[in-house]
Amino acid sequence: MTHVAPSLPPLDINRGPTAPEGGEIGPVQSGFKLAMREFAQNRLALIGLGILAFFVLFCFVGPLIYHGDTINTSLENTLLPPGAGHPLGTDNVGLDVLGQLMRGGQASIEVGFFAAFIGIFIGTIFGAIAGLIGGLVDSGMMRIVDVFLSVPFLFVVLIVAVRYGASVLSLSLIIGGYTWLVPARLVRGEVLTLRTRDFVSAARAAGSSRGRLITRHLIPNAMSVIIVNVTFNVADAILAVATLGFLGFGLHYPNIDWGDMLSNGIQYLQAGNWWLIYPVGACIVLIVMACNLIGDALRDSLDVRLRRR
Amino acid sequence: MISYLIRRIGTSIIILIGISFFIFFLLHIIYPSPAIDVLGSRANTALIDAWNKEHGFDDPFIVQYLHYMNQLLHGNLGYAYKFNQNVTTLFQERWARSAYLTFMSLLLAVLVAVPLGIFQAIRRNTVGDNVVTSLAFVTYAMPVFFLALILIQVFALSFPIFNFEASQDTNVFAVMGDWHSMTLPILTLSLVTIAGFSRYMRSSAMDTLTQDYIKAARAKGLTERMVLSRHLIRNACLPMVTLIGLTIPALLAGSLITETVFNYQGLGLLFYNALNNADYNVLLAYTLIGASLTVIGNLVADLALTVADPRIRLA
Repeated sequence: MTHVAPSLPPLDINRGPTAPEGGEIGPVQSGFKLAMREFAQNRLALIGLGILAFFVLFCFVGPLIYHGDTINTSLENTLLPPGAGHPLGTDNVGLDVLGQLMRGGQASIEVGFFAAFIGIFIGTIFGAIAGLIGGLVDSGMMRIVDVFLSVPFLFVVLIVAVRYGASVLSLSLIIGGYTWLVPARLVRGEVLTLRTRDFVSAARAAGSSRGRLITRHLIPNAMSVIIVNVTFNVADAILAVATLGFLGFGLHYPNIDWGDMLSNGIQYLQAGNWWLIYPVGACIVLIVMACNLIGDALRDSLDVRLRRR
Repeated sequence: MISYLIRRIGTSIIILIGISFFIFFLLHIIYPSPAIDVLGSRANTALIDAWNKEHGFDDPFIVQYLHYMNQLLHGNLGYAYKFNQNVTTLFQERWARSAYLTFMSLLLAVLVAVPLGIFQAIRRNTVGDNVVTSLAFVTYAMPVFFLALILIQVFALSFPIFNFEASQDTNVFAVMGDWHSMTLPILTLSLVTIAGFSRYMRSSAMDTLTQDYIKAARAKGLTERMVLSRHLIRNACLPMVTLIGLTIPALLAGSLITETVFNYQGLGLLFYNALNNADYNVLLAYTLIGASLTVIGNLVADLALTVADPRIRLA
C-alpha cells in the first residue's frame, strides 16, 4: 500500500527493539494493537469511519445548529423545492426535510447501536455458556439457535412491532432480541477452540468458577469476533428499522425515522418531488455502507473468519 | 453416509417441531383469541368466554397447539377472520404468484452472479473487478424498497419502458407472460440477491483458482476456456449451493417488500395486509410456512452438496 504513514515504526513487533532476540514474546495487547494499526492503514475503513462520524454529528449536533421546523405543519409551505430557508425543501405538510433527516437519523442510529449491543450481549453470553459447558446442554442450546434462525427475521420483528408499537426502546429490544443468534454461534465456535487452551486449563486449576472463566478468560479472547459482528449488526438493525418504517410500522409523528420519510415520499415520486426520496435514501445507504466498510476492515485486520446470515 | 443422512434429517425434523412450537407460542401470546375480531368490540365478557369455549380458545396452550398441528397436517391452516376466508384458500390463490416472483429472481441472480464472480476472480483488482465490487457493495447496503423506487423512477417514469405496478392478473400463466409489468419486481429482487451472491462467488472462485488441480489442468495444456468450464466453475459453485439454502429467509423478506411496493397479489402482500388487520391465522400460517421452507431449503442444499461433492460423501 502506498499510503503507509512514514512515521510509523515497522509492523513486526517480535523483532522490535524491546522484544528479546528470536523470542516470540510481545506486549500483551500486541495482537489488538497490530490489528488497529492495520485498520488505520485501510483507506476504505477510514472512509467508513468518517461517514459514520459525519452522521453522528449531523444527527445529534446538527439540530443544535440548524433549526428547521419538523413539528409544526405549515400548509403555506408544502412541497417547496430546495431553496432559501429550506436547503432540502419541505414535505407534503410543510415540514423541513433537512431537519427531519437529522431527527430521523437520531432514531436510526440509536436503534442501530442499541439493538446491536443487546444482540451481542445476549449472544456472547449464550454462546460462551454453550461452548464452555458443551455436551448435551450445548447441542440443546444450539438447536434453539437453529430454531430461531429458521424463522425469517423480518416476519417476527414485524409481528411483534405491530402488536406492541414502535418506539426507539421497543424497536431496539425487538431487533436486538432477534439478532443475538449469529453472534451466539460465532462466540460458541470461538469458545470451543479456546477452552482446550492452556491458559483456560491454568485458570481452571487455579479454581476459577465457570462465571469467572467466561467473563475473564473466554469473552476477552473472543473479543475480535464480537467486535466484528457488532458493526454488521448495526448495519442490519438500521436496515431493519428503515424497512419497518417504510412498511408503516415504525415511529410515528412527531417522532420520525428514515423509512417513514421514504414511505411518505413515495406518493410524490410521480410528481417529481425528488427531495422527498433521494436524500433520505442516500442517508440510509451511506450509513449502512459505512458500517459494512468498517466491519469488513475489522474482519480483515483482526483476521476473523465468519459468515453473515 | 447413511448415518449422516439420518442424523441430518432427524435434526431438521426436531428443528421443524421447535419452530412450530415457538411460532405458535409467540402468536398465542400476542393474539390469545380472535373472539373480539369476530364478535366486535362491544361484545361482553360472557359472550367472549362462550365463544372461546365453543371454539376451543379456552383450552390449555398445549391442547390448542396440538389441535392446530393436527389440523395443519390435514391441510387446514385455520380461518382468517378478518378476510373471512379459509387461510388455505387464500394461500392457494396466491402462492403460485409468489413462487414465480421468487423463483425467477433467484434463477436470474444465480445466472448473473456465477459468471460475474468468476469474471471478477479472473480479472482480480482490474478496473472491471473494482467497478463490479463497488456496485455490489452499494446495492448490498441498499434497502430493497429504495432500490425498487430507483428502478421505478428510471424505468417506469423517466423512461417509461416498464410498468410501475406488477401484473394484477389472477391467472399465473398470464402473469408469467406479462413482461411489461413483471420485469421491475423481478429485477428488484434479483439485484439485491446478486449483490449478496457475487461477493461469495468472487471469493470462492479466487480460492479455487489457487488450487493445485487448476495448476495441473493448465500444466497438462488445457486451454484457458477448458480450465474454466471444466475445472473452475464446478468447484467454485459448490459454496453457492449452501448459500442459496441460507438465502431463503432473505428472499422471503425481500419478496414481502417487493410485493408491497409493486402491489403484487402474492403471499407477501397478504402477510402485509394481515399485519394491518391483525389477522392472526394468516400471520401464523405464513410464518410457519416461511420457516419450514428455510429448514427444508437448508436440508436440500446440504443433501445436494453431498451429491455434488464426493469429498463430503466419503468423509
